[in-house]
Order: sequence, then structure tokens, then C-alpha cells
Amino acid sequence: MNLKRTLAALLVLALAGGGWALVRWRIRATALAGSARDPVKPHQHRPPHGGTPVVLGDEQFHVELVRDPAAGVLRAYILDGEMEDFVRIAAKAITVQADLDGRKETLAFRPVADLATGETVGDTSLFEARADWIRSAGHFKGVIVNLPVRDQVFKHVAFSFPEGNDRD
Amino acid sequence: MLFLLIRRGLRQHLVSTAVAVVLVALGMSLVVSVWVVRTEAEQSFNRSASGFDAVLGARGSKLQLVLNALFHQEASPGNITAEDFQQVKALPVVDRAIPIVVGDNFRGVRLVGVSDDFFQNLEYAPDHTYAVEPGGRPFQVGQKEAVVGSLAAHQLGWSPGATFHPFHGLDYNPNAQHSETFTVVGVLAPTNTPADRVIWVPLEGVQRLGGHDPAAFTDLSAVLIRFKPEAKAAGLMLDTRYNRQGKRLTLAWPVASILADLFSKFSWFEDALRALAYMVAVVAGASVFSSVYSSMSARKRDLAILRALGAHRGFLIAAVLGESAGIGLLGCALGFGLYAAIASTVQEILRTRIGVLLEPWAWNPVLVWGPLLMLGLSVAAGALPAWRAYRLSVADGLSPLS
Repeated sequence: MNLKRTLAALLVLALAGGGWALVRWRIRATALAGSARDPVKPHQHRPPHGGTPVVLGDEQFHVELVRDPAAGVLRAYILDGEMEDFVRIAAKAITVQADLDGRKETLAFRPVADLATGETVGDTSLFEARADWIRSAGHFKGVIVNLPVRDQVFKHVAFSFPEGNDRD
Repeated sequence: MLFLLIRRGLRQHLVSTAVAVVLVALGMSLVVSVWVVRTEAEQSFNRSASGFDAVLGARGSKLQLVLNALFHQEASPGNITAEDFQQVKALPVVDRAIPIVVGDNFRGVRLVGVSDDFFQNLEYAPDHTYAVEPGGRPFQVGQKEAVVGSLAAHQLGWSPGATFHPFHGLDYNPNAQHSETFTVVGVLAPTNTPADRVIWVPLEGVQRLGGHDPAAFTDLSAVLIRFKPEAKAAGLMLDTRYNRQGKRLTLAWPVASILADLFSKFSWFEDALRALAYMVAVVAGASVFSSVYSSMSARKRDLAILRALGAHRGFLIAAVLGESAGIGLLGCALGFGLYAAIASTVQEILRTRIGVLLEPWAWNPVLVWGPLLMLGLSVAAGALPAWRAYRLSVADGLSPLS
């Protein structure tokens, strides 16, 4: 009789143990499935609009250039070093000297106010330049003459469009 | 013969058999309920997003925006201006932009001010548009008229022609009644979405109620947005503009991802419920073992006689395993009944309190593997008694009891 009880107790314990192991396994599987769904994002700097990234200094900031050929507009977004946050600056204008296969052009970017973002002239991350040649010029070399961002001033920043100047 | 033997075994220890059956049923219904309610609830919430891709509102939590604007829960995080609405409506990627205003109720049922676009071929699901039931009509802009959601109409006992005075605020306060009288002109045809739980009135109906700030007469609570199907990158583009570049407004997009985040916040609770369900399943297995073991011990003499009469050992194993499988089958049958009761209770709670319709009998693999798990556990629990029956010698079984 003792043997029967011992066997019964052992079976109950085995079932309970098996059940607990099953629970642990399911919880672990769920956690693993969750982590598989949310893979760790690699450290990548990608311009938010898919435009041309121009590095300022030692990657302290970026300028993203986005061409709108239909409107003949080149937009410049000021971004942080990770290209994650937009950086609003007080600049009244940004000057870019462009070299189109030997032909020299000057682009004057003006600050843009936007109701949607709450940006105003004097506190904006978006600048626009208009020129007819932007409609057709898909490639050019450029130099940002002078760009104050927060407490730093970046001068003569050379880049190629649409490649950018990031060597990484 | 085998069936008769199994039936006799089950009936001989009716109480322990019944307890084991109930425990198996509880285990099965809990396992299936936890799984189905979790997956169905998430799918139902996504279905109930009423066909909108995004919600634009004041700067704040995306989840709060979605809950407030699409599920009519929570308070609005703040107001946006009519210019914000016009600007987003004019974007070439936007197919429909529906402004809403909240801030008043009638005895706890929320009033939602909306533009009359709402009743103009707006799909809340593929091939299903918002419509007013026969005998009613949409409200007229500028009039104090209302179209009542089907659940709200049932709850309040309203039909076209009914009149009411709204109360200020989202929570019912009997001392905050507005003097304006609204007339119900229609009942919204059931949509099985949160739209059924509210009272729809013209935008101005809420904006210009007495006591509201005249400076904010044109303000809106949110804009419900549907993108053009061909504008694949619209959400990402506007997410960058409003949420990353901007600091004034919040675009809640994509709605499904925001709702998934909501459910992930409660995943610990779901894990705890699953653990509980598994433990009940294990206890049910132990109970089956106990019942079959007792039954087999009590019928040791009968089994020995059967062996003496020429029954094969395999027959005895089949009899014992058949008994545990019988308990498992009965438990699963009862379990489906219990599951139906649990699911219909949860379904009713979600439908009346949130407006989300759960479909508990929609295909879900757990509806198959849940019962199979319990059946397998029951059969496994009969393995040891079956082994004992297999090893039973005729001499031991027929030896005198005293």
C-alpha cells in the first residue's frame, strides 16, 4: 500500500513538475518571440527624408538636402549627430556655392515657418532655396559657406550632391 | 465489451470521475479562453479602428489620442486648431480627414461632434459604410440634431424624435446640464465598433454649447485620417513632420502598432493567466490519475477474472486508458461549454463598455490543440494505472481479501 501511495505521490509530483516546466518553457518562448519581433536596431545614421546627408564637423550635426525637381526647390533640414532629432536654429540664411561641371551658382536658403511643426523664422530646422537649375541638376558639388548651429559655426563644408560627404 | 467496461469504471466512482471531468473542463476552458481572448481582443481592437490609418491631435501620448478619438475612452490630450485640420486635409496623401470634438456627455454616454463627411461614404470596414437606419436621417450641419449609435440608442431607449439636454464634461455630473435641446434624427446602423456607443452631433453642436470658451469655438479634439491607398510612405512622412520635426501636434500612426503596444503592456498579466491555466491543467491531470488509479485498484479482482477468462493484457491496458481518455473527452465537451460561457461574458463586457466585438468562435489553432492537450494529459495520467493493470497477475488478483 505504501508503495502505491509513494508511486501516486511521485506521479503527481512528476505531473506538477512537467506542468511547471511547460509553463516556464511557454513564458520563455513568448519572451523570445517578443524579442525576435523587436530586434535590436543597428546603429545607423539615415536621413529621415531619404535625402543627401552632409556631415557638419565631427558628426556633431547634419544637414539633409532634399531636392524637389518639380518645384525647383532644394530643402535643407538641420539634424543632430544621429540624424534622429531636428535642430532648430536662428540663422537668417544659409549660403551654398554650387559647382555644376564648371558653372558656378549660389543658393540662398531661407528659413521656413511651418504651422504643422510649430517652427517659425528664427526658430526652424527647415530652409529652402529656389532656382530653375535645381529642376534639372541631379548632380553638383557644393560648399556650405557659413552655418551657425547652436554654439558652433561650420565653415566651408564641402559635399557632393547627391552622395553627401560622409566617408563612413 | 471494452466500452461497457470503460463505462462501468467511470460510473463506479462517479464522484471522483465527476471531479476529474470538471477539473479537465476547467483546465481546457482556461487554456482556450486565455489564448483566444488575447488574440481575438487584439484583432478586434484593430478591426475597430474604424478604417482610419492615423489620428492627429494635440502634443501628447499617441495611445491616449487613439483611445480618445477612435475608442471614445480617456480624455482628449488637448485641442488643435481649425487651421491644423485644413492643413492636413489639404495634403495630397490624405484621402479622408474627419475632425471630431469631444467634451460633453448625456448620462455618461459621450457626445462626439463630427463633420457631416462622416455620413458620406465613409467606410469603417471594407465595403461597409456608416449609415443611418431606415426611419432616420443624418444630422444637418448647424442644427441641434443628433444621430445615436445603436448601442447608445438601446441603452438610452432613444429613437428618432427623442430630445435631450447634454451635460458638460466627459463624466456625468447632474449639476452640469446644458440648456440647449438636441433632437435625435436617426440611429446609426450597428457597426460593431466603438461608434455604436456614442451620440454623434454636428461639430458646432459641441463647440458652441453654452459655457464653452468662445475663443475656442473652432478648436477640435482630433482629426481622424485615412491615407490614399497609393500613398505608401504617407504615414512615415507625416510621422517625421509632426512627431520628430514638430513640437506642437502628435500624429498617432500606425494605429495597429500603438494598439499592439497597449496589449504588450499587459503581457505580464497574460503570462500569469497562462501559468494559472497550465497549473489547473496539471491538477486536472493529477485528478484523472487519482480517479483512474482508484477505479483500477477497486476492480483489481474483476480484471484478474477477465485475465483468467482469457482476456489479453492489451485489453486491460485499453480498458484503463479508455477510462482516462473518457474522462478527458467528457471534460473537453464540458470545457467547450465553460469556454462558451467565459467568452460570451467577456464578449458582452467588451461590446458594451468599449464597443469592440469579440468573435470567440473565429478560427484559432488553440480551439484544436487546447482540447488535444487536455486529452493527451488525461491519457498520460492513465499510463501508470494501465501499467499496473498490464503487470497484474491472475494469482494476485484472485487471492483472498482477508
